[in-house]
Amino acid sequence: MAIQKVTNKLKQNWLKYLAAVLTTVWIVVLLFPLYWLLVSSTKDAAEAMRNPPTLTVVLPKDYTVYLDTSDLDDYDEDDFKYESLVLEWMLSSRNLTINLNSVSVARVENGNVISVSKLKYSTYKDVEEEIFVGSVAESLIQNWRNLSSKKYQTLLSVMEKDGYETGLNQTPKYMDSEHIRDISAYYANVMDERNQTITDSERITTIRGKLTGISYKNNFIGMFNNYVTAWKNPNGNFLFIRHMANSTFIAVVAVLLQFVFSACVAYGLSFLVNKRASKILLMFFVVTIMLPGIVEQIPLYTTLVRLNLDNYWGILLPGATSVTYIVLFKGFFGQLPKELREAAKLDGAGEFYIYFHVAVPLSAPVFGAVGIMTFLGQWNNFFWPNMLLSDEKLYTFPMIIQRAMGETGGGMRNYSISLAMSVIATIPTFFMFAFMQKQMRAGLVLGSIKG
Amino acid sequence: MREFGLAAAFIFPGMLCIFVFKYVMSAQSLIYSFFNYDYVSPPGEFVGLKNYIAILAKDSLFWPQLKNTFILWGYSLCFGFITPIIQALLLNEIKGKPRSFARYLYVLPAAVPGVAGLAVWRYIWNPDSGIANMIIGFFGIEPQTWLLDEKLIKLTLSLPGLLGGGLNLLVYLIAIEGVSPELYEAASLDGATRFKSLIFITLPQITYMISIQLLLSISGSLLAFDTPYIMTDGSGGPNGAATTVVFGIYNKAYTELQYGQAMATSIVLLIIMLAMNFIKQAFEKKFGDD
Repeated sequence: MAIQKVTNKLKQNWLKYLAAVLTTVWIVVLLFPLYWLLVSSTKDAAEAMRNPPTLTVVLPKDYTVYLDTSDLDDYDEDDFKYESLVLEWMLSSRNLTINLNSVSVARVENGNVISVSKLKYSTYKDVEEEIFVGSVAESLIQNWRNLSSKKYQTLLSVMEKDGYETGLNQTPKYMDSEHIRDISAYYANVMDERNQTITDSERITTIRGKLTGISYKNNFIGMFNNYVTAWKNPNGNFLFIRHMANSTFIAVVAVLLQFVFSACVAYGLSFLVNKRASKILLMFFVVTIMLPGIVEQIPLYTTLVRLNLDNYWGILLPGATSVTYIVLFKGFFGQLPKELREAAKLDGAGEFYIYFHVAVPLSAPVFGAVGIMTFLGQWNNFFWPNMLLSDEKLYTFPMIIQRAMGETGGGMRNYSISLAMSVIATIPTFFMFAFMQKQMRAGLVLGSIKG
Repeated sequence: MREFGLAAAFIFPGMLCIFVFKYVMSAQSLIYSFFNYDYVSPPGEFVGLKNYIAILAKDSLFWPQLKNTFILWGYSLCFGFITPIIQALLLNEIKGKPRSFARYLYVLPAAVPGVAGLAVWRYIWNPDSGIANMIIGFFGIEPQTWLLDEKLIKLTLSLPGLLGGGLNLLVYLIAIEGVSPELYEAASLDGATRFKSLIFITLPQITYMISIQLLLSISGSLLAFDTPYIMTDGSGGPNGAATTVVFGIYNKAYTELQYGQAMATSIVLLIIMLAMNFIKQAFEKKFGDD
């Protein structure tokens, strides 16, 4: 009898159970790209290219290479500086390993570590642009003793000179975390190959110290390396915070303009003209809804460029008035009780006073909704800024993300950085969605009624 | 007179804006479409219908682009349009705390800005290191090149629609919640199961919302540019397989500097949309009043 009860319940509520199951599955699948975005944004460029991709976050590692200089005469700190540089660079060059947070070279003599030199991934990334652009070589002989921030540049220019490829075409060799290989032989091989092709005056001597081991440990903070690079890379390309600020500026001003132009038009049509004029004027606006945007955008583009307005003027002015929002405002204003206005007028209030102190406060929901819709519309806007803006300093963040993704602009090298940028870009809208649920619901309701 | 001044103060700025940026610019588009628009010294030489002929010619790129646009729209109808409706109907069956929690999760992905979302998807569809190939590998299917495959690319662009969620779902949910409960009571008195009342009561009641969303979907798909552009890195897909009409207009203007033809194409697009609207209204007149 119990079985009967269960099957009966199942029959009666099958829809509910089905709904629960399907909804859960759908939500999990729907949220997967979000999870993937977060996980992938922490991968460095080589890890991101791994096939098949790792499903969870991989922490970057801090490597320590032990260089034994016990039996060497005439080995001083300058030599160590130089040799440690060579080792650090080789290990951190993308072609040799991945998931690197930092490399330290520890100089060991007679069992004691007497000095350590460290190269952080972020430093490496700072000069990376110069590395891959192939900057002009400076003379190694003149500069190696004065190694400072220029040091990596110099070293690399020499590496490039003798044909060491620093480009994207090499397959990364993964340092297997399970089995640490004998790295000294590896270094020796690479050194040999290079030394055969450079001239005497610029010969990098083989490392005199003896490589006795390599150790590593995970670095948690290193997960955010991509974010650091995305945020602060000043090498001309993507100073991301500026572009986020650009987008914010545009979005906020767009909202304000919308409030001034569209709302005022709606108020005027609702209260300041007679019914017939209101209908005719409304037609003037509503007719343009039929127009696909692209029709006016081409001549608009050429006109703006010729007037040298291909900057934010060209984005904000055309979008200052939106007919959809006029209709939305008008609908709401139309529902305000007329008596309020009459009463205020009897009290001697001027029209602007009524507008600002009576109508607007009462219409807070629709202002909120339009504000959010306008903000989001401009925030996500890609097409028009992409077409119009030519000065890179003015670019909006969608444009930057798109460029960071590009195969032509660096391919997969920058791809995980573009994912980090995407995560950064999601944070403001995420907060909006989390804390403004009520206003957004109101906006959607209003938006659907107006149709 | 003062009343006129006031009214003007409120209405005139917006009117001026619309007049300049919509009326004047669209008129320019129409007029210049008959010229070989010269960027340096506009408007250039008058060429009559030559631009239109070039675009509507048999071998012009316009037709494949139009076909692409409609195919993409078709896919988005199958995947992205129906999904939120089903999701909302199902979600409506869940009550209480799980319901608002589920609704919150459903809407969350909408917080990802367009380009950011596409960035992840490009990574997912990557032939070498993307997770899409890994997943289909589990089913024994060969790895595909997805965005580089001429035949697959349109499907690839539309598949994410199957995930649904987002603001569309919210809109439908609100509409479904607005259905008066008395209708359901009456139906259950007549012995209808929940499922039956879903189909015969809920769906008809939200037809209005569905038609609005359909309209938005049409105009959205006909004017699609962002997704194909960003997913193909501005190339328009292998052999132009993902180039939509607006994408084509963009290329004509930006890359080929053929502004006259670009404007002509946009006018053609306008005519197409007006025609579709006209047909829709005629349809509604015939079938609407019952």
